[in-house]
Amino acid sequence: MEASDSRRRRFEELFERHHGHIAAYARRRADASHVEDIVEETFLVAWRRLERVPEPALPWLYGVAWRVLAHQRRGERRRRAAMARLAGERRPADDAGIAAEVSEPLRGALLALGEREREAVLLIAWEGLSPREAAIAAGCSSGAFRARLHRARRHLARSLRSGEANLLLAREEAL
Amino acid sequence: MSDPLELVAVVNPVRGSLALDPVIRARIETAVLSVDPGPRRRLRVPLVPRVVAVALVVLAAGSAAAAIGVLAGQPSAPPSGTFPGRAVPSAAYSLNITPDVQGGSAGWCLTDITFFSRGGGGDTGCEPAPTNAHPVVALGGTDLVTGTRSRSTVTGATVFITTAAVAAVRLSSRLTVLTRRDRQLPHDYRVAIALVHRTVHRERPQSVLEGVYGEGGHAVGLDNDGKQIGPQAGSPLGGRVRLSGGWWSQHGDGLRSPPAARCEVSLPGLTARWGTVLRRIVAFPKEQRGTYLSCGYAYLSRGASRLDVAVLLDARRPGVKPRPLPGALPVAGHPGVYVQPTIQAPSRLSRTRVLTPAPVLFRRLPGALLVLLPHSSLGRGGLHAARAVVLLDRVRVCLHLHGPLCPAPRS
Repeated sequence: MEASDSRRRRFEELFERHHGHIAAYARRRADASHVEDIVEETFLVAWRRLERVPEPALPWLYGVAWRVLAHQRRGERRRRAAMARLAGERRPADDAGIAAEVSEPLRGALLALGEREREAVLLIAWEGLSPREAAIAAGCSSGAFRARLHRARRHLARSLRSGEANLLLAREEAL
Repeated sequence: MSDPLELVAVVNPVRGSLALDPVIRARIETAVLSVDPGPRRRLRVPLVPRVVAVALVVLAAGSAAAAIGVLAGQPSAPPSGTFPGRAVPSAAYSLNITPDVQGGSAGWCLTDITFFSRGGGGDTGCEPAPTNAHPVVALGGTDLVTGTRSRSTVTGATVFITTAAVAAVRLSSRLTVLTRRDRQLPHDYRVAIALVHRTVHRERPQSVLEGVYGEGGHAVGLDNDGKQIGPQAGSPLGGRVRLSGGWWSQHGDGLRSPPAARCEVSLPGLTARWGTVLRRIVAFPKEQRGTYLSCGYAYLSRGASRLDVAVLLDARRPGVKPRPLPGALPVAGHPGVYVQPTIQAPSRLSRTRVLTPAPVLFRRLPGALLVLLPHSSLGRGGLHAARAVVLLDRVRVCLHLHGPLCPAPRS
């Protein structure tokens, strides 16, 4: 009983400390209507794996939230594709995983990045993590994360310079 | 060009953390904590040693059972989960238990929420609280029917609440369900939730509620040694609490004005439709600790918004500060106000939120709990729980346990 009480207390403390950060993380990447679900599913994983949650917990929680979001997006993509097939339409544009408030041309530039590269950029720029913390969130070594971030930065700069983002957006709209 | 990461940082749509509505925050936290975290560790054991280990466990369990006569039965299902079996893969259930707020009642109510894949029904209801004399109460249940016209699968969930002395509920010679504590009930109560799955070869399948809940009427409580405690769950009420409350109504055919009573509740701006009040308070010292006695209840409405408001007393010692509702969490920014969030079905299945009842909100008063149950199950017309917190601050309460009655409110 004492062990389960202390486990519960630890979770409550974790939730109190970080639910606002996870809600903000979700809102930066998804529509407001999804925030509640993402927070709930992220902390459900934390509750089940409480013994494995490291300190500091926030980067680890961001990593979980990213997987929850990715899972949700995959499901949404499948659903939309199925609906499009039923309606005899072409494949609809993918949900980018970036809040609609982010405007062009930066939105297009971020969309032009691969999913992992984009997440590397956002963990640093929006969540304000250090590369070492962001590596924990991304589930890779610090060295691998730095290399990924370097590539992402280069691609982002090139994309912004060349206007590739606009082309990509136009292509998506045409699909 | 400057560092592109700086450009991205400038368009950050949310600076810092995002404050969630306190009611939503409490709901999420409670929903997560209601999930059984499951096994903490998974040992990876090669197959042959695993077989040996299983055999040893079976042998050990068998000898232990023989030695101490362990009570046999299946564990109670959790208050929220998915129905067993492949026939209804997307069907989840969520069973919420709240105090009975009708004036004169000291009992509990079941609100079931089921996400149907093809159809089904539920039996919500309120029953007097279990006592030592009547330790098992069948609270209600829900069932789900799937299949074809000739072959149907019926899955049912039946809920019993019991006193702490009841270790298991025997529904039939083949089905005994072990009780468990539940965060929705006070510490001295236990719950047994039986999930039953049947395949029926006929055009009109018998509802599991007719079958299992019928059996539930004959259910008996067992102690740790497997001996029966008290009468069957469906026995006559005996001395269980249900005081006669004065009923009033201000709509429909049978109009009757609210009488002077021990407790009166009103909310300016909302129309009181009907209610039940007590003119005499009686203590029930033999009730379980944590049992509430409702001394005044009103059903209020404004447009499509509907509310149940009630004043709950400690049934054992009316006038003593009652305990908070189990599982309740304080609402930030509203001192003394608590929310008992609704138990949710597993999150991936909880998209159909229109069926979800609103959380119970309450304020602690010196000798009572002021309870408010917003009806959010009405869909778009429902009242958002966060707004209900504000309404709770405006409820007017009169509470005279002794001496003159509260004056009847003007209609």
